Amino acid sequence: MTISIKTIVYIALSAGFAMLVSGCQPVQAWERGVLAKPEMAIDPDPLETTLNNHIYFSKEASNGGHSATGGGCGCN
Amino acid sequence: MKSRSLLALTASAMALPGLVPAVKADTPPTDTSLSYRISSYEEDDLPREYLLAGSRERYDITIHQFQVVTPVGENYGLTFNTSYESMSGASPWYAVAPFDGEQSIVMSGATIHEERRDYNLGLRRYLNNGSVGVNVGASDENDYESWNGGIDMERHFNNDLTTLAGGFSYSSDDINPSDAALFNRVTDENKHTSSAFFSVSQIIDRNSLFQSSLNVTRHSGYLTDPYKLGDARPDSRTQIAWSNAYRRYLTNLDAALHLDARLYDDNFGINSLTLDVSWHQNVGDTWQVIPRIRYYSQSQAGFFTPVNDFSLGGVFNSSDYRLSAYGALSGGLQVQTTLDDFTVSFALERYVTDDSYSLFGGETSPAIVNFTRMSLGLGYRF
Amino acid sequence: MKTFQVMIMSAFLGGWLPLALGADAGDQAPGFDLPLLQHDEQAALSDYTGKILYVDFWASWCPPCLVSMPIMNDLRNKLQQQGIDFEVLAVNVDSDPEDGIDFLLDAPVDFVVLSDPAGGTPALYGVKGMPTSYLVDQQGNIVMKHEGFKRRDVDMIEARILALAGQGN
Repeated sequence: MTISIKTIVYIALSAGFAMLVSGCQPVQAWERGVLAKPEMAIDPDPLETTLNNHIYFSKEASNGGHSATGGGCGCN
Repeated sequence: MKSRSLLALTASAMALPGLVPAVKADTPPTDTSLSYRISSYEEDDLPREYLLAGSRERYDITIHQFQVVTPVGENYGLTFNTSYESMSGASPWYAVAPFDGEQSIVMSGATIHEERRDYNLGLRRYLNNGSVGVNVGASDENDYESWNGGIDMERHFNNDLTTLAGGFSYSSDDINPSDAALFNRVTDENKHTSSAFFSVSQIIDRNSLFQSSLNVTRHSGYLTDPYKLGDARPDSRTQIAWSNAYRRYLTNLDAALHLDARLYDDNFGINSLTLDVSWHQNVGDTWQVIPRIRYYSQSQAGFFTPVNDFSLGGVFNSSDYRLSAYGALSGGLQVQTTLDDFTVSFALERYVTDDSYSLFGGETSPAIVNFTRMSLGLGYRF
Repeated sequence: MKTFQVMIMSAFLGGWLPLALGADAGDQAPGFDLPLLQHDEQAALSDYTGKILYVDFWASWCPPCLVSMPIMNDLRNKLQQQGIDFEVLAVNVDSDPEDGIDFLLDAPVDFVVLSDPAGGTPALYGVKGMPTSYLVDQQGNIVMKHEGFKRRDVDMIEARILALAGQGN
């Protein structure tokens, strides 16, 4: 069976996509020390983030961030 | 019964979105943590040249936040949040076309003290590949009461490199404006809000990760501001926000870079862009210094006019600065230190608005606001 | 096959392929020879043949790992006092061993703590989550692989060790 150009292109694209998604080599379980640092969290300081969202919401028209927050919504 | 002079209006902030921090972690908490924060922010006075009548002094607000996160058994985490907010100050009541100079804003009168409290309880069940959380909450002000509930879940895939999360929340709010009879305001109105989000998080390499979220919210009911004369808004509003977050650790510098971007759109005609950059710099083993810059720009609501149009009758109209086109730039600095099981933090922020900062065309209200904020936080784990 | 489908499959394979290697219950425990975390000595798995072993991969940034350390320390001391030939070999995988050492300064343990910052040993064992531990019998075979750690797990681990002690020499 001959391997067509199409197949080679598929494999190359897939390998590229796989690398893109998992970063050349996937990060192993024991390599997650940096990702576990508090400063690497999406939200390292929940009280500060909530405070900011609350204040900005009362002055701006937008709302919505990374999660569906509790209710009691403002009047704008 | 309180008696108030004509100009002593209560322009309370109405119910604001709950001060409910999301607690996300892969495993249940292993110890109990208590956090407290006290914040004070002051809005700049309305510039003299825009004031037609009323008090120039805008809001001074103090907010106390308290949070407990604790394990329950081996598989659950419990989170309780409560906040107390006290505010005093004047806010824009209505706007008229200036006959001389630029004086157009009529502010509410002498400052009145307002309070708001909110509470939220959340329980999270941790499973092998993710977690599920439920939460309920309530908020209370003299003219606004709300209860809310939500559920959310997350699941890890691809050896925990990819996480999908989603959730739904609902709130029902009752509005009873103060001095309703005196100012011919509505009494006893209701509004409800449903919100859903979906997000994807991906670990890129051992030093960086990325998250993208979509958040859709729909409000129905009484959406008008009863404290603003001539304000009339539609009875439904749909909002959509697309947020992206990137986190990268720089080993040589021992610091983490945070980049956040959000695009927003709603059916009032408002679009907005928010960009947030912060730098989390470790100093030694126990200090962290975090400078931050935020840029925000919004377009105006279709029915916004800088000056109230009282002739419109039943058609939608508002001169509320929050629905006008403007941009905002804020800079802040937070400093944190850890000592044994205690954490102390201090933050300072300055927020400035200007119509020249805006990306979008449209009209700006002269009543757009600047403020300065200070916060002090304490944390303890045991 | 459609390009999109192939791409999705590859993305998942890219994450899972390296983990096709590894050791599980029934396999011989892969050998290793590592420096101690807190002393200038080496220790090899083969030094402990004949003992019941608990090979535990841990790091200072992993909360359930930190919960398990004092609990396993108590169990190890209790079983040794009962005359059972049991030892814990805890392999610290912190990329900066100082972080592991700092944790142990606050919460010292009596068992053997090894250092593998490069992560060759957890790769050999096919560790997929932190913590992961392997209960190894007196002949060097893995009898149990355990991922994660909850406080009540110690009872189950103790029962498995006593069962091995009853069968073995």
